[in-house]
Amino acid sequence: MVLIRHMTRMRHITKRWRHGMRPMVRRAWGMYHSLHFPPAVICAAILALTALGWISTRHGLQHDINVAEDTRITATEHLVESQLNSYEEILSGGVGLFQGSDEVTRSDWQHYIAAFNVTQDYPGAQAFGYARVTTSDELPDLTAYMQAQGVADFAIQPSSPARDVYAPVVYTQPERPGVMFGFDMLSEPTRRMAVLEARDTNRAIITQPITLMAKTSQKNLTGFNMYVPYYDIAQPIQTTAQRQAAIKGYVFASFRANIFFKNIVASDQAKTMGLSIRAGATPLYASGNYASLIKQHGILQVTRPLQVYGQTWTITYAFNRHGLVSQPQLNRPAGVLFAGIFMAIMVPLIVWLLLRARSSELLMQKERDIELAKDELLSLASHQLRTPATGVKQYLGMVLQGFLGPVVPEQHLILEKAYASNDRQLHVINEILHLAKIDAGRIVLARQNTNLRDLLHDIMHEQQSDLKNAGHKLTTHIPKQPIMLNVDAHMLRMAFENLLSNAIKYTHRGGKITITVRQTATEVHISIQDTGVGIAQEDFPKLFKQFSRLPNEMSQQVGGTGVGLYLAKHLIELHGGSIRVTSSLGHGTTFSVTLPKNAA
Amino acid sequence: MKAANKQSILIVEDERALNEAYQMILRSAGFTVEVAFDGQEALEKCAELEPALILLDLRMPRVDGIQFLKSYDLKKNHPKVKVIVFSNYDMQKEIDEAYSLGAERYILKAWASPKELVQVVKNALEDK
Repeated sequence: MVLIRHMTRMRHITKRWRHGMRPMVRRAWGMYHSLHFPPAVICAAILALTALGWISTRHGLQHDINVAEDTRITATEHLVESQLNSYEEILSGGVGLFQGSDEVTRSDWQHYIAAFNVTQDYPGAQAFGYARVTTSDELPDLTAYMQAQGVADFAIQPSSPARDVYAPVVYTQPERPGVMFGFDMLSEPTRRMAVLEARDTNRAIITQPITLMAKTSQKNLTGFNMYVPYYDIAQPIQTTAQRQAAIKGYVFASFRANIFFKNIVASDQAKTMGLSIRAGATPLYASGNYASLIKQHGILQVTRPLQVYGQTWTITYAFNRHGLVSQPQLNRPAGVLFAGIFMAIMVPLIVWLLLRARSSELLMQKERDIELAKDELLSLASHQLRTPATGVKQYLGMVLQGFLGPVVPEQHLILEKAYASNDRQLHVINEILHLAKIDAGRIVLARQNTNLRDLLHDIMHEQQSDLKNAGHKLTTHIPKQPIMLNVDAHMLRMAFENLLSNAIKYTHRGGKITITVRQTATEVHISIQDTGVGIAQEDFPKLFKQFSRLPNEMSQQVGGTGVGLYLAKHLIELHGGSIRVTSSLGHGTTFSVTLPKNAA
Repeated sequence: MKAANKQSILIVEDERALNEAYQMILRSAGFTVEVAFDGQEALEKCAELEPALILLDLRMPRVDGIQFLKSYDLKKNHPKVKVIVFSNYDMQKEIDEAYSLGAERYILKAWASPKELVQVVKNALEDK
């Protein structure tokens, strides 16, 4: 019962492992539980997170850049506006000067402007001046007045064609060489437009870009004028018509663009920010670094309009992103990307390695379980087979060995045969057990220091009665000194028992058996020679196969399972040794065994 | 516990035919013999009288040979008692375990003739 239960259990384990699952189920099971699936999922998840992180940090970086841009732009716009305001204040103050006195002379104007230290504090303006509205009738008086103030060559420019109303420049400070008195602000369309708008709106107005008046030849004279209207304070100026009627003149300032805007981009920002300013389609100014900056890779350009005193300037900013955010901030998206990809490789790799280690451990555990079940089955099978045979042995042995008193010789002979038969049965069980263990690869040698000499003598002693019964003569050539080998004595004994037993069995009565032992430094050679029936050359290949009994003239008379030589060969080979056979049919057989001395 | 009889032997064997055979063999050789048919019964017998030698089978119902050795605890409690493991079950793992629990010898039952059994027992007892 126990045996059957064990066999069923082992079959169950093996079956479950090898064939237990139907192919489809197995495939599905394999797919979801394969080593690759969890790492692949982890890899995909990390990659997805990385992509999200990358997009998010890029947005964050863009936001930071936008904020930094806006800050710079706002600061720049504020700077432009505040500079223009400060000039406008001077001009408005000039209007107040005219309104507050009956007469403002050339000298008064000079003193007023000198008070501001303009060359140093207001370098953007080339000149602060006053253009007086004059009808053609008043022109002779004005000319005389100007001459009286020391402007000997005062004349309206351009002089022709004749106009009804003029707005000639009468004062201008500082009076640089080549200053043009008498230039009519209304004679040139761009200036005229701004002048009339200032008059009609009672506001400070800036012209579109103009080429500044100068007698000296200077390279870049692009600039603009700012006008502030001066009305007769005795007249109302609520309506446009009233303002047109009350206008007396214009206080103005002339600006050279490249000087006015020179410090708009602070020197410490020059590497990372540049700008160009246009009024409509006309370029007004470009910072010195602008042209080179916009050619660089990765430059951000932003264009914003700026309303200033009746004009709309278009400012295009060029930013180098290194000036807007720090290098770590700039590196963050790439850092997230690389770290994510690194993790997406490393984490699944580690998981895969752990899974692989675990699964091979499980596989080994299963194999160990199966092997253990095999061992148990074999041991149990032999136990179950041995036990009844052992009972027979004990009871027969008691009678045979005189435990119950003497037996008559005929009975003794029969008992001996029965006892020998039982002994053979036990041997067969043992051989089959070892055979099964060899086939299952389950023999583990229990090596211990063994004297081969003693072992061989024991075997000869055991089989002495068989030798005597067969009338054989045994000759030995064995060295007298101990022959120590590190072997499994039990297993080796089984091998040599078989060889000697075969020699005895397959030799005609009165034969000769010789056991010879020779040694070299590394090996021991044992030969067992008989004068028996011999083995045909063509039978040699079958000799060491299990259950192959060779047909010869004696095989009918002697018993055997055909296991002995197979077992002997394997046991000797397990010890790292070898076995050879030489034979001549009808003359005898020699089995030569070689065993290594230094076997582990 | 009474004083141990030097010649008393406890046979622990579940196979009735074998148990009886060993009784006959050892009695006729002059030993006092006690018997048990499993480890549990053996423990009970040992509680009454400490034997000089135990002939112990391994595979038995209820309490097997290994469990008996663990409970009886030879090394600690009964250092003078000899145990010969006498089994037809040759699982190396269990043989090693029996030795580590204090067994003196392991003999495969199938190889011992009645005379050899007597000799083995005598040798073990004389070895004191």
